[in-house]
Amino acid sequence: MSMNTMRRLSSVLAAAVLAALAGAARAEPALNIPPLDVRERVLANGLTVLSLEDHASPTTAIQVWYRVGAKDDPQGRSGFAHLFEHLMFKRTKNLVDEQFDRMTEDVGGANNASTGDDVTNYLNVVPSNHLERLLWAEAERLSNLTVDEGNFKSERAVVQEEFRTSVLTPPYGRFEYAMQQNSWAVHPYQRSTIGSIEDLDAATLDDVRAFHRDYYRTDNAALVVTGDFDPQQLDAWVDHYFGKLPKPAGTIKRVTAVEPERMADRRVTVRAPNVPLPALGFSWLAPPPNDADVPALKLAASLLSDGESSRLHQALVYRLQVAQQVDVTYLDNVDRGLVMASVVAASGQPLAKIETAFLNEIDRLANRPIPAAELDKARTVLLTRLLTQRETVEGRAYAIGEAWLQAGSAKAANTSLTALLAVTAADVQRVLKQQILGHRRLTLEYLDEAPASTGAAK
Amino acid sequence: MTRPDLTRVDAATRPLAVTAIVLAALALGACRQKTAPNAEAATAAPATALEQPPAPGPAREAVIPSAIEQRLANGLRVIVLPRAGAALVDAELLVLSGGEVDPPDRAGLADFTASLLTQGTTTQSAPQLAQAAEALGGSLKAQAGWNASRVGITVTTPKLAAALDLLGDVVRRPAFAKAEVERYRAQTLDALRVSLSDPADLTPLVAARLIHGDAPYGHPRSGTPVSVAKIAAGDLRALHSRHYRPDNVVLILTGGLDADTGFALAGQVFGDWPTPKDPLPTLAAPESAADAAATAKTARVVVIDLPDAGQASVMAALPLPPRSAADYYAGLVTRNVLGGGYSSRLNSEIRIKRGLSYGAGAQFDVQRDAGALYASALTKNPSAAEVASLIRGELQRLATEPVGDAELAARKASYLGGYARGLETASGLAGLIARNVALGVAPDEIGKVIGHVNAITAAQVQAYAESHLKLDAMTLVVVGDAKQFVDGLKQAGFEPTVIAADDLDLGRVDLKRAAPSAKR
Repeated sequence: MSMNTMRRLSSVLAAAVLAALAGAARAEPALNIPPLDVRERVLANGLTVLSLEDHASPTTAIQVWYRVGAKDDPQGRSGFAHLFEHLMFKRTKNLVDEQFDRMTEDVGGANNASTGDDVTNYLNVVPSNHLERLLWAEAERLSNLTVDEGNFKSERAVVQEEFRTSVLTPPYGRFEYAMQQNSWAVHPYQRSTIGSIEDLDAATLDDVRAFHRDYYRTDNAALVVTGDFDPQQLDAWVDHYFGKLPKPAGTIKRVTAVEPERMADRRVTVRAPNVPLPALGFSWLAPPPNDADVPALKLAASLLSDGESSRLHQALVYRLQVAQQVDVTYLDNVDRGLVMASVVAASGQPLAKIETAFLNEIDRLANRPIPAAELDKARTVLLTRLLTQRETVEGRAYAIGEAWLQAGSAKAANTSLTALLAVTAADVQRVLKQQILGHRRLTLEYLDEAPASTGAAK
Repeated sequence: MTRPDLTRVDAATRPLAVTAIVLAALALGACRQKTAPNAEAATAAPATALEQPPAPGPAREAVIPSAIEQRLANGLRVIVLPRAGAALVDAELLVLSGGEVDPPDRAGLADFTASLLTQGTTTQSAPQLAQAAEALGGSLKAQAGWNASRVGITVTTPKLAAALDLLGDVVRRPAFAKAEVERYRAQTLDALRVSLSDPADLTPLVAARLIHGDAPYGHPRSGTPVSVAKIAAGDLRALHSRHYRPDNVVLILTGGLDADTGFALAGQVFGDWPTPKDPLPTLAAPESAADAAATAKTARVVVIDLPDAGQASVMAALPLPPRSAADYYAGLVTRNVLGGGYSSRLNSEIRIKRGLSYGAGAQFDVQRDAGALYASALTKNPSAAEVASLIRGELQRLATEPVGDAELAARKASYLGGYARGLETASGLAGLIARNVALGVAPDEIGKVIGHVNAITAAQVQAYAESHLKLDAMTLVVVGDAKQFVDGLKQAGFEPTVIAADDLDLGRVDLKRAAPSAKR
């Protein structure tokens, strides 16, 4: 079952699935999970507008998602898409520096933005009577950005501190960095989103102008509005502020690199300062997020490492006590997915022993019967988490933006739930055999550069 | 772009377990992370503006829901806050004794006890409990705060009854089995190894020790390698039998349930929990906290030398009055002017104007018996002294000049907006009620916060800063590569005492493991 071919999840279906999940042990009322009933428009200039009305609280989330991310960083400018994201909070023709903060947090709202490998999103939530102002402001920075040298340099210094805070300072910051570099042979996903100090230093104001021109265009974006608004009024404001922007000329630059299949397993050792406990990382190339196998992969990852009752936690942390922490995640990069795993060793435990135990558990899940109750558990955990993520207006807007990014349609936010609930034990075992056991593996050993060095307080 | 759950905890309540950080941050990519510019700097559009933003429409008031409370015959308080139509329900059980009851040589005992609740009961093993909780879609989370210990779970509404059965079992009948105690001890010692090597984690622990001394909030709530090694199953049982009793427990239920259902379920699960005959132990008068605060009036500057540190973590700390103080809300607003939200003074001066950090802010850590303000930022090692001076300057400015009207209104709105968004979720509501109850505040306070905050004036902020944020009581802690900033600190007028990270013992008031001469 491909997520792409599914239509909107009906609430009747959801209730039936959940009632079945509840099992015979306790009579529970069926839970009604309403689908996200998203309204979808495409303006003449190519802008996609996705909206979901809900008046539970007097707040509105306004998000703009652009299909540009770290994979689009110019050559020799790793970290640029993210640096650019920071500059979008500086001046425009009609906005002073940081005016977005005046228009959001100073009136009881909030804003943020984030850059991933495939996307840059700008996230606002405001009291609902401020919706029109934010639409004006988002249209303004999409069309009228004017960054100057002073702002550029000070924000670049901030991003360099961000690099230090996320990579150099935390004990496993370099581990994550190394996993990304080593997991990809060709695709620009190998570059870290945050970049490097040197590449950030090399960036120029001309790069900023070119990047805005190339990627910040109406036909490369989705505007998402959720919460307290009037749909007709929203349409009129959107037509007024965004509809007047011209249809962009030419096509959008796209990454064309195709990550080749790995030809062999690979093993890498990385040494770093301040490694309190050694760690092991694994990765496998995986299908992209709109592939039919992905729901089963997500469920497999959950069975392996979600919560204390998961297979790997029970085996490595609880029974064998060889690991301090274990995690398996499916990363839904749009061009090509990745399954990534990490294990932090318990003190004194050899990595070889941990590796064997880890691989044994994957093998066992792929080849021995999976109890129905365990599968139900994993589905219930994922469903509950999804509901938690959708409790707020921002969370619902985020789910809609993510569905647009990965599947090209907000409807995928509903179909992905149906697909997840429909995964069988046979699906889990098939994808584990095909995508993990049948694929080449990267193994990364992460060790202290000087085992006897000072560092950790005792 | 997958975003696995990032565990969101504030620095003060950060658990020491190596939570699932490793893959999360990578997948998350980088973000603008708003911790919080100066409101007056940019309220007007530039003089050359061609176009002004449209004016806001009429505001709609937020409705703050109110809680309903009943007490079971055995003294257990039940607080229910229903939200019509919610798909999730959050159940939090609060035991009104937390890390402040840790004996001096058993730092971390209350947290150890709470954590062991979910690791086996007289009828279910640890794996069975984890299985049972996760089959309901949630996970049992247990830990000790300073004033209360807490175990909770979020589930879909049909699973509430089963979730309460689980909560009842773990709170009333924990086994404290030897094997589980040893397993948890080993995990905690490893977790401490990780967190004590992270400047961001280590700094607040050092600052709290300097501010609170040997009073209850001074020791690390998750223990130290020395204290965790000492804790025995008998200590856990003793704490449990003394403090885990119905007349010391509050059950909080929020989200998709009605009040009658909540009270009925609470009665079924907890109604037959007998109340012990002996009176509830009372905490020793908080005079030691006051003493500690008094000793902290002497300014101190401590550097913890971590030569491998990628950045320096700079933190200024000041003792504050407890939650019951009449000027609590003035303090809260003062903190938000100084270091709350993206546009606070600290973030404005340190990040926005100078690019010295990814984020600077202040924490208002006010507990039942004492409080503290922590103002901090991570910065590259060579700029640690500059950041320390900027923090000192902003603390001083609060006391010497009044906050402008526009800035004050903006900082209040920023705080209250975040506050109101916290009320949107079942777990947010439960968390707010739990914090109030733990601090001895009535649950209906959640409906009064907006009024209290809005009533604070610029004069009250300045008065608060004058009486509580005195520079001669400021403690400064810098954790990082000392050789890169010690001279700078001295030039800026600080007189640092340097302690090598290897010599640090947070179990001791003087912080030094061997304590050759520096004992206070």
